[in-house]
Amino acid sequence: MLRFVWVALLLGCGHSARPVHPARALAPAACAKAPPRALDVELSTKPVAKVTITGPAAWTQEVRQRVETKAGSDLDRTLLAADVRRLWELGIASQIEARIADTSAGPEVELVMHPPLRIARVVGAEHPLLALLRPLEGSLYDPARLQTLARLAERRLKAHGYARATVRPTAEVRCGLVSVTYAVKTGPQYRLSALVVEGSALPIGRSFERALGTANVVGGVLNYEDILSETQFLVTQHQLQGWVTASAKEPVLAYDDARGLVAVRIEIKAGPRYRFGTLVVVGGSERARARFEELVRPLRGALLDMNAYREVEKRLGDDMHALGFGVWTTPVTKDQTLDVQFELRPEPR
Amino acid sequence: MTRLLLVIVLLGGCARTTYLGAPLPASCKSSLGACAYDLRLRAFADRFGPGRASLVAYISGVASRVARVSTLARTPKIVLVPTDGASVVGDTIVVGRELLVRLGSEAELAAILAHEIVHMEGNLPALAYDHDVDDDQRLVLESVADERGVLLLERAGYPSYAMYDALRFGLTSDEDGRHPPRDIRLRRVASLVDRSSRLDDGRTRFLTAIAGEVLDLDFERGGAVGERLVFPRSRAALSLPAGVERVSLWTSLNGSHTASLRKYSAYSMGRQMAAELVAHMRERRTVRTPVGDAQVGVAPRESKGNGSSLERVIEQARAQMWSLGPYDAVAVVEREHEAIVLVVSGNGSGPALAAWLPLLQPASDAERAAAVSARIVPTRVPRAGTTRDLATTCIDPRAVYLFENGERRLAVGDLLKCSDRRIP
Repeated sequence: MLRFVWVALLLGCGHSARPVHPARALAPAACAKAPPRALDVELSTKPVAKVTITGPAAWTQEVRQRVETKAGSDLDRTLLAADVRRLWELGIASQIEARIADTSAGPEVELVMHPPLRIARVVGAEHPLLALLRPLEGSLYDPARLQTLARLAERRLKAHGYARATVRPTAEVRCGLVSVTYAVKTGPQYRLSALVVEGSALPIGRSFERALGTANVVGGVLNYEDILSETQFLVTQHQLQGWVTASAKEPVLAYDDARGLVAVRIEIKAGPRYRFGTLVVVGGSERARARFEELVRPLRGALLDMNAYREVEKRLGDDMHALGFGVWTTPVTKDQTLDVQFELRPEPR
Repeated sequence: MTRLLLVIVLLGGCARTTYLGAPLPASCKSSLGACAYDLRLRAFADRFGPGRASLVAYISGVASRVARVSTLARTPKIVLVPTDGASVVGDTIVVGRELLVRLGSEAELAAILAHEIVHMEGNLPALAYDHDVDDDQRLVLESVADERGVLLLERAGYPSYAMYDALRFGLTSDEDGRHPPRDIRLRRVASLVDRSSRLDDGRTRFLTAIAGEVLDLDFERGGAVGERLVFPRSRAALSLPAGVERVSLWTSLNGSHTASLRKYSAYSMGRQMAAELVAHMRERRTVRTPVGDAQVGVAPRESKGNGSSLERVIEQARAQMWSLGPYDAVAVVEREHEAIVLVVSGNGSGPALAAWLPLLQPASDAERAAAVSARIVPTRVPRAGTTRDLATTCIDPRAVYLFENGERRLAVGDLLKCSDRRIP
């Protein structure tokens, strides 16, 4: 007489089931009844007769390698519990069950990996800018992913002027399938009433304009992310052209919620403009040093311009190479000047 | 005379911006993202040509079968390029031949296309253009594309395990920085697929479609023969100067000079792309080489970034196309079917390039004879077994070891992916 003992080591996510609309693409699994609770029944002392693993991915090497209970060894419940835990940690099953059937040949162990939860339906992502949420249908259910994509969706809305947008996901689980609802509040789409840049020593031109003139210009939508990145680019351009300590505070936004308008003010602190200071050469030949002087003389004392400096550096590198030398530089900034030591080293051919 | 002058002035005022020899795409009037992608596709077409029409049509047919069960309103366009991987560029799926020839069935091709179609369902091109999507977000989008791709495969009537096999045997690296690690991808997909499916995987149709495609090194764009990069179409070959250490040699040649830290690279470029590079070069001059005149100069200057958004998109497209540093020394040798480009960056790049140019020589007869790519010949197997067991059916068993799933079981008369010659 065979005795079957169900030892349910259930590690699952306990969601309450509420009625949901039927999944239109994925067939719901039959809702299984909860298995019986563990019975304190004595099993035979024979070695394990058989170990099988069933369910999704059970055929993969990775899954099989995680199970240490083997046919021929004694049945060790602690080891079996560890096997269940290791399978659970793969993150690809909604439940793991260990079933033991006591047969005349000995205990037969079956590790059942129940199919993972899959998203069957996504609701609330109808806005054209929220297409990124729709392909979730058919993917594995992972609450952290829903939050990650919700943050990206908010970013997307905000980049198109919906500065107050929020996107919040919730999920309902029934019979192994998940319905996800995104609660989306866009708020008004803000347009710029003003874009003022103060303190810039460089021409702005159309550098803040985006999307063929539909964003980040007066009358266009606000894309705050791009306002920030363009401000940083402007600061970098200042630094390259001699305003070495240039910086900018975070842009100031003044919202008019009633009219859906926003005024943007950006303040650049250019700081002092540096100059080229001491530019000296060591090493090299007399001819090389003479050529160095020719190239570098116009820079000495001039306003710092890293583009001009790079051009001279390139020309110097080429000419010194022709004379058999490589150029190594040591720049130092102090007292609003850039001092550079150029070392000419013989270059092996 | 006055009327003639007026016409000339009007024509000059109406001069339109061109890109690679043609007016800007229509999309540049309405969407910067679509414009940027269309410019990139034009660069692909210039550099690689259109790809074999019958193979592109076959891939389009498979894409259509998957797209019909997706939320897309239209089948995506397909472009075939001789590089690796697959990606979405605007409304087009770009399929790399190097990936294609590693796949084992139509179902695996469908799996790759399904992944990209999911990206299109989520409007990833617009998303990626508008935002710097961070790593976490990108990995989630890639995982969703794998998993929903399994659903699309099933709906399209393909065996779902093909997604697992496509990822396992199609990918060449475990971590590429843009996708989750391969073992994680395989694990998640394995939990969704039906390994016991008996649906037709279309292997025979697939191998028939890719018959004749290059397996491994494609010499058409330049390839390694011995220590030289040979350009068979241009009948030219190039080695690195003495003292420059070779970093890589495959379809391009890359080297490094340790003492000066100079970098050397040489490759083939499309003619229109090269003409545009020459037009924007600084300090340009003509230098004779053993294979023809070279236009030599300094790489185009970086933009100051204060033009209109459209101007910046065009400048970025060019910069991406050329991939040059602002002070690189560049030489362009225009030939009938391509341009050969040499670049040196670092200290003394100009004279170093001038010293390198004479090493661009006519290719020898032996080099031209060796610069022939191995191509796929589907071959019927004489007995049943795994592809690994049957590898010696092929002229070069490496065609199987490198390009087939070694565990796939074949019946008598099934096709095996062999090559027509030894793989270089």
